Amino acid sequence: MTTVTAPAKEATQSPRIRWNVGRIPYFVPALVILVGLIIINAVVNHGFINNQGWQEALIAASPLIVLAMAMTPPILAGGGGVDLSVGPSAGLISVLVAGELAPRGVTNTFALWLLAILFGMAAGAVNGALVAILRVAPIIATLATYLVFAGLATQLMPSPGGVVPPGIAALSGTTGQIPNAVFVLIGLGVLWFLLLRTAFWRNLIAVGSNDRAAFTAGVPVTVVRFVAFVLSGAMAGVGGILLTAVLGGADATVGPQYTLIAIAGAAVGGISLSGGRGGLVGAAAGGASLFLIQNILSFVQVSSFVLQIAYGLVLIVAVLFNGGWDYLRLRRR
Amino acid sequence: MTQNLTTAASVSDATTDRDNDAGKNSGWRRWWQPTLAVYTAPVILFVVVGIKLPSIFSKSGLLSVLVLAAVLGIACIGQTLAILIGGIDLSIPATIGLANVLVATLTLNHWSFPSICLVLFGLSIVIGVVNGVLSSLFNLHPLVVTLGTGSIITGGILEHTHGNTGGVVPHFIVDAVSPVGRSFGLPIPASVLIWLVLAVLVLLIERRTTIGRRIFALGANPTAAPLSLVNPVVTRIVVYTVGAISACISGVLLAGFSGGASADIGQPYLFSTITAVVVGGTALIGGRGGYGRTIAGAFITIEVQTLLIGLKVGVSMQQVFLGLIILALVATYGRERSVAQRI
Amino acid sequence: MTTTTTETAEPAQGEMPSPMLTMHDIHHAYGKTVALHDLSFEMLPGEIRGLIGENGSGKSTLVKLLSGVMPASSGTIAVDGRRVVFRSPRAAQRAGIVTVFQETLISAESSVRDNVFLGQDGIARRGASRSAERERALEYFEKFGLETSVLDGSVVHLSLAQRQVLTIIRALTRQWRLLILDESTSALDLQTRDALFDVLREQTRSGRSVLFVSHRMDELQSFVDRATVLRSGAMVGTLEQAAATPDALLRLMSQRASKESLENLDELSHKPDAGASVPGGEEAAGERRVESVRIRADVSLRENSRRFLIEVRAGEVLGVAGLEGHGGAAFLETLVGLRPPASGEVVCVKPDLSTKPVRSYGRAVKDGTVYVPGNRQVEGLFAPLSVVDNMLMATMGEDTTLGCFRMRRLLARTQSLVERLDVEVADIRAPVDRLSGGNQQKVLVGRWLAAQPRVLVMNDPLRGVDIGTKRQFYQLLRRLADSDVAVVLLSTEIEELVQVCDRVAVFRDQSVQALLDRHQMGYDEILEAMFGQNVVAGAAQGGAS
Repeated sequence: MTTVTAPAKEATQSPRIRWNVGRIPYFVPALVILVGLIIINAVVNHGFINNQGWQEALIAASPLIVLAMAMTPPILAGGGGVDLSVGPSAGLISVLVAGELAPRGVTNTFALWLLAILFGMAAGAVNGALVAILRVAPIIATLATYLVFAGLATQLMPSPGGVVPPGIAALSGTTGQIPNAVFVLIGLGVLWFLLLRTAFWRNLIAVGSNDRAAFTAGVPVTVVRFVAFVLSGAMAGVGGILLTAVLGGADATVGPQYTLIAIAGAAVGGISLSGGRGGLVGAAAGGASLFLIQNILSFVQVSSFVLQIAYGLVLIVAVLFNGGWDYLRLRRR
Repeated sequence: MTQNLTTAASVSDATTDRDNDAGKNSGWRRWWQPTLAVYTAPVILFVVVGIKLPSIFSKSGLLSVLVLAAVLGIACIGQTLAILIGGIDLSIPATIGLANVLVATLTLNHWSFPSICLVLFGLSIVIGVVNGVLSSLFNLHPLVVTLGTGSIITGGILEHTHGNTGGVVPHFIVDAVSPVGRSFGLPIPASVLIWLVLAVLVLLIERRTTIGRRIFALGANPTAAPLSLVNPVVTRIVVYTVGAISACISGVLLAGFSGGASADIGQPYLFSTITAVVVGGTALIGGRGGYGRTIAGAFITIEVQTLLIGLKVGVSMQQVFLGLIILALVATYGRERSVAQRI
Repeated sequence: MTTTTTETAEPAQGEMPSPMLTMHDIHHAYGKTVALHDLSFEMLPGEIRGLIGENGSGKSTLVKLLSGVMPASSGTIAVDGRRVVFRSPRAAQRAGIVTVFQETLISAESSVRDNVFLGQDGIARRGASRSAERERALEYFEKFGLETSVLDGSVVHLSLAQRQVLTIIRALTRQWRLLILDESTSALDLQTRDALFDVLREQTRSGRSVLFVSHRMDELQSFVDRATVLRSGAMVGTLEQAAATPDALLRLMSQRASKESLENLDELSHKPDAGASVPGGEEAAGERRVESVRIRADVSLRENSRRFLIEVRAGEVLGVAGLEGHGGAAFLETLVGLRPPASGEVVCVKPDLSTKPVRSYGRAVKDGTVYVPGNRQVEGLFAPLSVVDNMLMATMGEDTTLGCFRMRRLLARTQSLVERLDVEVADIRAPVDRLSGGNQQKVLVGRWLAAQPRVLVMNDPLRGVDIGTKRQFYQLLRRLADSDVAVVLLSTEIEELVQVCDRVAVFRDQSVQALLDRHQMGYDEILEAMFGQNVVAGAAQGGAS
């Protein structure tokens, strides 16, 4: 823009300064919150650092972290995308692993992982087909599959129980100082990092940010949305395995409870519910933050009731903060 | 999603008009058939249930369906309005629990029923204002906002009662939801009568008052509404306040079923209110549908449940069937526009 | 310049090259509305073809069919003689047909790079390596004056013009054989636009073709080899460049000489005045003006734009002209309190001649200033609601007793508005989206007539509306002005302004370029002022303080 004929065509005069403001990644506030909570945890509970309290916390938090991550791709894909079924789907997979497969002699760790993830992808494909191909509103489509998955899980296993094969149970243990669940998270992180390098990522962001632009530019919007749900399902499969390990069995009633917390985790993690902005790092940080709040409050022995209030407050404050921040970011011209 | 669907100017105005003309034909066909279906379905379903469970044709059978539908239907008032403005209200179950616990514990502490009602009314306004204002700030998604407020409400009531949610339920509430209950000398339980009155009121408000039309306008086009002097914040506050009040009434009635109280008693209503509204055909994108449809939706939901129970289908499989029914219905008439249609 | 055509044809060794694109017997309808009929269209390799037509002539439909947004109802499209059916824009792009749409379609959350290469990837496989992408993008960045540093930055900080450049680069970096530019040069400054034209001229030498949809006569004249004119869904003619003068094109577009429309002006806009006070109408009006000012805007729209003064007077239709983005729409929004001015003040003169600053939209409406927004689908209509709701949404409160509507009065009021505006509607309780575009627009105007305004501000209300409705509107506006309402009418169609307005304010660069009164406001004068070429002396000063 050397010549400017109309003020509508403002030249960018100080691009450097502007880029810096715009370049603060979306997950920074979530990480700040997370670090703050870790510090508070460490201060309040000396055992958190010294007595390996952090290990237990991490293991217990791992299903929530993974499910908050699982919630992310459908939200990113936009169009009101959300996957209410991640909780029940993880719960159902946990029931399948501990209640159906393991008792029938399928104890090979690799096979269990594979089946869990495959089942998760199948569940995700159902959601994806409903949302992307049949164009049912995501909230309703996944609400319906929520009911179906949750119902099937309790049908298969009316009361908690099941067998946990050693390869899965090991996930709740530690290797040296490091909880084994961390390896799962790192594994997911590496896969995600690889995904970021593919074109799928930028397709996903474009579809979530402006599906009309993406469509006219030649992005196969339907396929991208579908794949987002399949990815979500795969991560729900991982969540199901972790859930089995953490619970030491399967409990059909536990999975569904994770759905709303996972949404909350994603929201705290800075993922915009209107799509196009966010990622797994934020979701993981958000999920971990929610768990740490619980950890602190239960350590200082406030009732679980106060905990629930705190959840609500943190959720609202976090989305308000993210909303306000986003507003300022987009305002800045 | 609603915002996404309608933002951004179109490539050409002239063709947009035509797109809409096209949409009008298919939209019309798409809508009126389900409209008829939605009002006849409860009746047909009732007969179907009756064939399987003849006891439903008895007076008590009929009344117990009515009572169940009444409690659900009342809780659905708020959900319908919230969905009509293009939102959703996840704090309804928590508010139901709040009212449920308060009515039992305060009665135990010898509060009079009217004063309890006054307290609940006051709390409803607070809940409505908070939900309404927060969901107006920065375009925050009402899903998250009401999720948060719901959590605070449940935690708050539990903390307030230190978890001792039990109490005494006034006998007239028990009567109100009992199929053999009477009101004004009529052999109709009070809950059904209350629902009838509320339904008429809501339908009147929807159609015959400014705020009613503004609710529809805000849902139909959130960008145009403020330009037509519809105040979005006020409208949202009203909607969520009405939602909280209706949830409170449901919560109080629910106390009559159990004779005790629990903060979690509203949990099943999280999804069943959404189900009833969606099954009725109120669109999630806002502005289309109404409480009349939800009444039908509430009946359908309760009848399906009754049928499944009658068929000795376990609770969990009931859930499965409910999910499948929602899918079948929504896939036939609740579909959204494709991207290509929005260029 | 027919020579250009022969020049580009040369690679085909003198003989007429076979067309690269053929559309045969295309017919397309949206529901019952026919958008294109019996359209046959050919493009030669290496050709730059202009496409022009009024709003609603079917240009956008043609573009959508070619770009794969939707398939045609019937008819065939062939590329290189092979029949093709595009099920998506992706499919069209594979065949080498790439489109830049009028609307700047960008993904706000993606980087500039990702926006440029949007859609060029597979689902997960990248279309090109990062370095190759960089090279390809930067080639055009330089040509179109974008800074290199922008490439990996956020797209949020780009200006509208830069965004448009971006969508053009998105198309140019592809393997295109036919590039469709659908009015996508409107936000570009002249230098960038010329750079684009140079690039395209050069690239068409290798046999690529460009379909250039534009409203701008100068662009059509200087850039295209041939220009095709569409009217009401059909092709009415193709002119070689030399023959494609604005006059000739206009004649084809409207099927009437432009002089005729100028005569129309005299006939229409002076008629009402003639009825009131025939001789010396100007002076009489001048007398009246002092006390009949309804709104006085003494503002600058942007911080660095020129300040100007405009008075909106009772009994007149004030036209607002200007290219899109030059401040016309912003001025309207400032008038009604939707947008605070960068400096200065908008003052409303009340009936008792006391003045009051316009601070908010709500206050403005209370003081009798109402606003009919531009994009009726987005900002105006409540599509699923009834005609009654749509007409009375802003004034429903008037007909209530104890909070409940008096239905009879409500319906009667709607009915009278329907009759006054001549809305064709079978059932006023039926959803408004079943009406045609023109009738929907009437409903929208009715919404604000119901408020009995003192000042009626309208943002291009007649875009995409049929001629018959337009005529009715012009008469309505005159009647309103005669009943002492002040009307402010923004229009993108100059002829419309010439026909109905008493004065026209032409905006350019966020300020008033010219304030033309009845003697000065011809089609050419307005057009010239819009392009900043000729400021009519004694008009623009309007009070630029």
